[in-house]
Amino acid sequence: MTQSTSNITILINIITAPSAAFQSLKEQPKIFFPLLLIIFFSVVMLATYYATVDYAWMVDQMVAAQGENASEAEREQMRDAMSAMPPFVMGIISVVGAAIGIPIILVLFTAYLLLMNKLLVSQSQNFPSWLALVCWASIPGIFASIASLVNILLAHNGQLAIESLNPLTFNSLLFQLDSTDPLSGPLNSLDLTYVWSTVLLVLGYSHWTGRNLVQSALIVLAPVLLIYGVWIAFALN
Amino acid sequence: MKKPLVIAAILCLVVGVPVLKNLLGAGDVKKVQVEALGERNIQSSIIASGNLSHEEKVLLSTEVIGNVKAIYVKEGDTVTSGQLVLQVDDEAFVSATEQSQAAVRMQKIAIERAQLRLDNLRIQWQRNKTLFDKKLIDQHTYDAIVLELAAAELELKSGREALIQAQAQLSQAETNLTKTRVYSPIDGVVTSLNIKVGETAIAGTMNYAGSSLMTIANPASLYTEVNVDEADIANVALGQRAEIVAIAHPDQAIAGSVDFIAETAKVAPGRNGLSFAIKIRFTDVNNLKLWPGMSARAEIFTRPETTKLAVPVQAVVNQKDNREKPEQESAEADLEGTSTTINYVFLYRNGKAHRVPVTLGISDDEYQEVEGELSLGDSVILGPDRILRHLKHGDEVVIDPDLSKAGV
Repeated sequence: MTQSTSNITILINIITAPSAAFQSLKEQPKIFFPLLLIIFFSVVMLATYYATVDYAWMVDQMVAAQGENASEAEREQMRDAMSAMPPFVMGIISVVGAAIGIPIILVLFTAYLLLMNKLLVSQSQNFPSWLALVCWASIPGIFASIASLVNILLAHNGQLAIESLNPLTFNSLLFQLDSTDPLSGPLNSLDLTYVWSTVLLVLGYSHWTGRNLVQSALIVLAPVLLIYGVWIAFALN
Repeated sequence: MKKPLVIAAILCLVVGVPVLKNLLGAGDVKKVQVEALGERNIQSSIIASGNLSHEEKVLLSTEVIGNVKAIYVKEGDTVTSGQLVLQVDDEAFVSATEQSQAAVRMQKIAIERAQLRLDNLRIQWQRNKTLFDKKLIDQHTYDAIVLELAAAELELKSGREALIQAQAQLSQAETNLTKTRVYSPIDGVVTSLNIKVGETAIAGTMNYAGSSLMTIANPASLYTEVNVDEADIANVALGQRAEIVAIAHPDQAIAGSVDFIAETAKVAPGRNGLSFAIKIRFTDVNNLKLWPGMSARAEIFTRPETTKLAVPVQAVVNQKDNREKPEQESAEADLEGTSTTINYVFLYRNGKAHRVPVTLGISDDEYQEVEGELSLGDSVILGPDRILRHLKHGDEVVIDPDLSKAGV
């Protein structure tokens, strides 16, 4: 029986030597450490954002983005409704949303992988194992949170839009689309760490199932391509 | 050894990218519109809204009830004082007059008859007195003739009073007859005709249909009545110059002057707070077609024009300062207690926004007098409003010539 590998070792390996990390997880899946780490960094980033943001400016930005085709009276109504909620309440809602939403998304993706694997092969890893793989593969998201935190601390006047928090997104690095542009949504949700996580997941899936990289990529990317394909199609319509 | 280096490199990248973006300032610079600070002619004024109306205006009504037989004018017609404008059906009133005239004639005949009888009884009395004095008739017979004579005198007197009564009734009937013909009391124009031929004109209060016949007004007496808020009334005085803009002629201002200020504040229709009615007389209507009832907006110039250091009104930003103030500083505290309003403008200097606190003076529609650490020629940031209201001291800004051209 192999010795259990520590969380810190797996953390270092997932960044520097993923294959070793995948092997350790296959033998002994660990879920809570990466999950809590991801949630922790997201919560710290969001809490810092809402503690420092120029709230009145943020409300104006949201009204401008959502009320592009609305009349002045409707925009004023939206502004009043949004301003009625204090910033700390908005922060708490965001933090709780992240703490609940992140595990839900990871669990849903795990369920998809489990189902796909059960359909394709007779023997498969169990749900906790797949969940461990998905959680550890999502570790690069921590770096996005760190980059966003640095961005927040560098914004001297607190006027940083929430869609501009992450400086590693494709929109921020390449396209610089305005928030009113319909493609800004999907481009702001895709960043370098997401690509990194996806690559890790493909490698992990391939390592565990023995499938080649192309097949693994098709299986792992299918839901991602579907979701973003529909999103972009709606945005362009 | 390699692994820590890899992690360190990744962390450097993660921290370095936002730092680099911040240093390069990509997307952080705000485009603004500026205007050079200068001296402007400011004429302090207040704006009030109201309607046009006629000073000299008569609402004609009838004093008798009857069907309208004829109308000799229509809306917009010019009439003169004493001109017949409307005729109420006078058939009943003519009959009443003739009836009264007959009553007067009958009463006169009755008086003649009473006079004849009295004369006859006087002769009889004289004859009977002579006989009574000679004791040729008894007391009873003499008393009877005396009584009859007295009764005849009373009858004559009664007849004369009845004649006066009949003549009074005749006079009233004739008066009612004349009231069936309605005349214009003034020279003017028929501005409103509220009744048609065949409808019933009703005497009495103005609240019933048919009680108001028409309105005649003197067009030369047109004025503007506006409602000035009680907060502004202290600055308004008789004779102050005003410019009136009628809704129908939004591009042409009409000169006027304040002619009347109400003594009592009232809640005007359609308003919530108290206001004072102000009448503004036109000094020159520029041949514009104006009608009573038209909506109008008046700008009353409460102070003479002066030249002051001023900025466009949209450049002034204010902020409530809710810090607690000591009780001794009560002179500047507002009615809410401890909060005061701080006013400031932003100047464009070397690519950055500089916030300068200012004290406000007089203002008009376009410009606001300001006092502070400002110099002629300073570039004052005017907008856009969505940027200006969130602008902070030290923010990087750049002048957008397109905004300036568009006047945004």
